[in-house]
Amino acid sequence: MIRAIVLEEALDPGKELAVLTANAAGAGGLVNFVGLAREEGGRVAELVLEHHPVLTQRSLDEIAGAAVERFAVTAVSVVHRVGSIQPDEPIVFAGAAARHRREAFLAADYLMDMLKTRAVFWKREEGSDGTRWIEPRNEDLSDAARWHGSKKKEITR
Amino acid sequence: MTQEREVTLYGKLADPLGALVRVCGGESAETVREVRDRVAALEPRLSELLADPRVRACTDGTITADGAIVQPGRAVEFIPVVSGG
Repeated sequence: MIRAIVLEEALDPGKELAVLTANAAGAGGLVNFVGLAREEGGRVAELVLEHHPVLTQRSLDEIAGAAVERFAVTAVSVVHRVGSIQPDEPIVFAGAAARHRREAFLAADYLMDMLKTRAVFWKREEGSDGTRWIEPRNEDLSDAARWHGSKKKEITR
Repeated sequence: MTQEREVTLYGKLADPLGALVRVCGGESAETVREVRDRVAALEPRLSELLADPRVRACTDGTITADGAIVQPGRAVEFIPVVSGG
């Protein structure tokens, strides 16, 4: 299963985990990550995620598809919110199922690194200090760069 | 006859003038770079934002190089740095 969803309503991580589990037949385990909107000490009242009508879905499809190509996984799921998100609400669900745990951990890690730097979203914080656009941090870029040029077998050894 | 070209701006690029702007030159084929320059000329802050080499253009749902030709009447989108997760 490759699941890549741009979601306009509330994200239910429990439901997404159930979907992934139901599609993980034959897998030995699954790993999932849930990203939450931070309140940053009360400074952020709202996180707004904008998206592109074509490129955003395509980017999620490509990221999820690349994870399947790169790792020995049986299922991958990426579900990403758009619109207005309140602090502590889920923004993203990224999960992978695999016969062996290492591949599932690697795939989930890869998915998040790619989502942070390649997925076509624009994020802005609205709060007491006004509006602030969020761009990938240097750490996000260096995390994503770890995967450049590395082939599946090199990573999974 | 003069025809305007529709340009959509995403993310922070929409802050100065909104997400949809129109520029001259739509009646003829021109490069993405020329369209970018026309949009930049509309507003100083927008000019600064569009000068970022990480800002990419998109035509017909495809990322397009600055040297690519945009046909008459075709819309252009400009896309700043993305960030999900």
